Amino acid sequence: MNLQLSKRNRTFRNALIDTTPTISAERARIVTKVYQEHEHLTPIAKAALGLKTVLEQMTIEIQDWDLIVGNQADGLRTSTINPAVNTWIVDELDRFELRDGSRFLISEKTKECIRRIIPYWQNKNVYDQTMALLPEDTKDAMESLVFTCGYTLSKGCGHWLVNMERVLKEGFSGIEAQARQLRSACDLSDPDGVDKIPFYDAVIMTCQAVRDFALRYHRLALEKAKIADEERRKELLEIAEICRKVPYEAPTTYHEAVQTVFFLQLLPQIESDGTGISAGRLDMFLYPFYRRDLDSGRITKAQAEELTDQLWLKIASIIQVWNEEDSKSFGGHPISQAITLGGMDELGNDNTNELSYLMLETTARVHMAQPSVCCRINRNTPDDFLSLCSEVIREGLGMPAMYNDEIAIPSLVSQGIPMDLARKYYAVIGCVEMGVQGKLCAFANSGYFNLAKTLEIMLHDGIDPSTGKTIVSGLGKLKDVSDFQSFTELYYAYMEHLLRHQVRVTNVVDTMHARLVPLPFMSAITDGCVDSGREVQSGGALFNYDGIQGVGVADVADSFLTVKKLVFEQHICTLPELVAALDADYKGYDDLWIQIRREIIRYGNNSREANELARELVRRFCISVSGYKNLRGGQFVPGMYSNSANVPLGAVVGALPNGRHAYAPIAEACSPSHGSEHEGPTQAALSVASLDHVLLTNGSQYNQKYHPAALQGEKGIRSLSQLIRTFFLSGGYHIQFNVVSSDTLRDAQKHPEQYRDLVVRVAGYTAFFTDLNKDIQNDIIDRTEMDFAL
Amino acid sequence: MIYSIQRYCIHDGNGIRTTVFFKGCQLRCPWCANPESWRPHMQIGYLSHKCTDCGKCEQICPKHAIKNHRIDERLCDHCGKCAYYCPQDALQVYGKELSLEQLVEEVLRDRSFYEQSGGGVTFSGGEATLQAEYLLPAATVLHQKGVHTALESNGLFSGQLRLQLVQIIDQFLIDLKHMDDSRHKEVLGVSNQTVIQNLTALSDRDLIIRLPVIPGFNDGEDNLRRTAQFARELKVPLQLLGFHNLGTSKYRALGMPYRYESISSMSAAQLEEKKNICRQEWECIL
Repeated sequence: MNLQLSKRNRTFRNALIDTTPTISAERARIVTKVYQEHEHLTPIAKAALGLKTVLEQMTIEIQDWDLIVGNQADGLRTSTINPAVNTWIVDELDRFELRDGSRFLISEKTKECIRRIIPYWQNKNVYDQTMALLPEDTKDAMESLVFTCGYTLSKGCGHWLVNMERVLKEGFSGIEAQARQLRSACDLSDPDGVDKIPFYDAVIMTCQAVRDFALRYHRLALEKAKIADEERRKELLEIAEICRKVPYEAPTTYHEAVQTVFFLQLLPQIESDGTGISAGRLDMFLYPFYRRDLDSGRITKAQAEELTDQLWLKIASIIQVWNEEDSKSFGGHPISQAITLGGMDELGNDNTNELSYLMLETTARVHMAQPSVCCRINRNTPDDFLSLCSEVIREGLGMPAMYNDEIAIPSLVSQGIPMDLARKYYAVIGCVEMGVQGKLCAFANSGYFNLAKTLEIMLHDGIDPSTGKTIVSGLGKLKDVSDFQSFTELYYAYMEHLLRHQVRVTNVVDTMHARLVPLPFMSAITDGCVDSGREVQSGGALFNYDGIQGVGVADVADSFLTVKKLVFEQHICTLPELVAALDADYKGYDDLWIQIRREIIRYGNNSREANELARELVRRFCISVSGYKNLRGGQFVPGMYSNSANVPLGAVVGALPNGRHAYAPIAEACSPSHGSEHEGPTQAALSVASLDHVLLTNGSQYNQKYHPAALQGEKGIRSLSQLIRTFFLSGGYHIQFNVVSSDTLRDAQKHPEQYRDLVVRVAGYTAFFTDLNKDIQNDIIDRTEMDFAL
Repeated sequence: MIYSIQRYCIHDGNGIRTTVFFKGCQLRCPWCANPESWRPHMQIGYLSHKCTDCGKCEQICPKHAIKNHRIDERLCDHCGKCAYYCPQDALQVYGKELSLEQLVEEVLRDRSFYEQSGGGVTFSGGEATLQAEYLLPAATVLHQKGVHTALESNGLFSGQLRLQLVQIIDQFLIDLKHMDDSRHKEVLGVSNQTVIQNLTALSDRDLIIRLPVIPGFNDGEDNLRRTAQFARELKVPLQLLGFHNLGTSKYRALGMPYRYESISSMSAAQLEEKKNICRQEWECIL
């Protein structure tokens, strides 16, 4: 594996690492002006005009190292903001530089600009409009952190699997032509026409705005070529040629195709500020261009590598700011721009190709936290590919994350996706969510549901002990619980009751996004929208999800097991005694605490009892979530991932029956709770695989941490590959690895300056370790490190 | 009596393996990294860095055998209560009785990994052959169930036992610590003749001779060459294992002196150098 970047890409990478992220108000300023001046327009027309004006007026740059062009804002690693969704930023303007993690710089001029434009958006943004509609009890539950809807209440919905295929085939000219044709068929005598005509107009305007945006780079490149040296001049002229053509016309060469992909990856992040913008199956979509150029001698493999490396770096240059609170759940700038490699074709044959390998090597070479590279594995995946995955994993950047086709495809099919589409278009959205590329509108992160908080509230008869507020009333009381089954049934009743609050919020939020921040660009490219004449967040896409993730499965399953053993089987304590111990955070209950720690064989050791309780908990959660329809005619889908939300969600939960102390992090995602894995990585993996991952269409997540010594040599690589295969054959969906010793991480806490490019897997994504706040850093260090006899 | 079951062992033998460590050994090799494996009964180790001096162990001990965290071996009946109630896990029990069925079940829990990787179970120690009445039926059952079985041994077992072992053990990994019998006797207190006989008799099996390379004891060129020559005569691979001092903390936990504490672990390059000497005599050096 060649780990040397080309000189230009090395310069580019260094610039990215050396740049502290900044915030720009340019986009918001332009959009605000458009909205102020065009109040009378329909929402979709305003949105299209806003985007068009941004693309016309925003600062564009071509850096000296660029072979691929396109920039998000006026500066490298510069985040835009979107006050149409939430105006939180105005309250945090002076706190960005003081942040413990996820820091940003912001100039006084930018602050001033933001203060000037924010008043326009007050009360008409998604957050304010949502909060105005929510009932008090739902707000109480949200404030108790029974669940969070932080994501879509503060950012654009994001989580798009961008339709690379269509634009690579037809360009925006193809989409525009279709829109024009369908528009001409619209008639106001058909009541739908009233909405369709402005929709098609918006799509047409957007296609042209995209063309004109690329033409600005064409002109800038010509401009720069005039003063460039001979070598660079040739490159700039080529860039100019490419930008004259794509993405409006379909690309023919690999370079053009890669440039098209980057425009498509960039534009959704200018249109709005959602994260999880995912490029999907690039190896599959780009392969024909690569093959053709290579065979015709148009490019060499080394040139293809350099372009691909640069595509990765360009993607890494994109950044999004989160508010302070959400930065705790999403520590370390997780933009989660997922790329999916490997996997099946529509017939079920393995589709891994030469580019899959090339792109994996690119990932190792570029060694950045973004893009987030995912690999689809199935029973016919070549051993060589899996082996290369393991080798890249050993490089220690937490990538690629590994995904199981054999679980994902039936899971998608169970949601009504036809088999051939599921096989061909399944790719990872954002962190771990399953999607069908280019055909889906997924509010994939509609929030986390706190399974552990639910248990605490139930153990206190509906009261949240930390606020004293009644969160649930009218359900059974703890004193009426007579046996273990009635105990778990009571829990499930609470879960269902509280989940309804989260669904309420989600429905309102989704409605507000559709009404207030329509997305003409995403509507232009997402299959189904132009056909139906409907905006993408209003039901235009072929498939529609809302994802809710359960957090704390291990804590609750272990707590169930503790109650079963100690209260109902061994009669060591009663439920009220147990609750008293929890209220005291086990102070004065040392022996009880010890008994719990020693006697309960917790989830993570592959004991049948714990596995079954966890599996049933997941099943019940999935049934509850899947019971809801969303407003776009689609479905709520359950997930079991947490990103770093297990830390803030744990910080509001008192002691739990599994022996976890008050306010400690709860277990992340599907992983066992910290320090529970006494039987080593194989048994921990089998525990996780015992959950029914097919039910978890919104994805599940499992992290393992290895000491680098564990992966030494060829045998280390082979064994890791075999561990992954066995985990997948046993029913696991996702596994990812942190290969870094706890000693290194501790040292990095002490000497952050020496570890600027140390990347770690946080959860569904990778981040620079030093960008994380202390709590999240500690949480990662505490995850059980798999080490073994040397 | 076993003292540990370790899963996902990947650096010894084929595939992903589960290693069962038997407690009790007739040797007292001064460099040994596993002093908790020597005695055939339960022991309790004390990890001072985890201890917060709460005094729980002294309070709870029914035999009053603990003073200042030191367990008086004469009073202790190994009930394990002190370790159970230690909130910091600063007391560690070495040794556990598992029934045959339990042992088999523990090993089979990783079956799916063996199947995927061509791995299996490794019986190690201490010295597993000292508990033949336990080892033989366990290995028999697992062998019958199609699990690949390996034995790590010091080679000091009888010819009679060897005949039984070859029926059920798929791979032998046997130490040959010194070619010179007088040196062997001097440091280990026993002759190497039984080891040599067993190795010779097992040479038509799947056998690996292992030489733990101990600075100042057996790492001289002469011994390296002679060991490699012997392996060549038998036509079996020779594996060199570099000395490491990672066992130091366990000696401390058990309150035992460790003569090799200050000797640094062998680097990969140093080990490679030793291997290259062996390679001059015999190509098959692991």
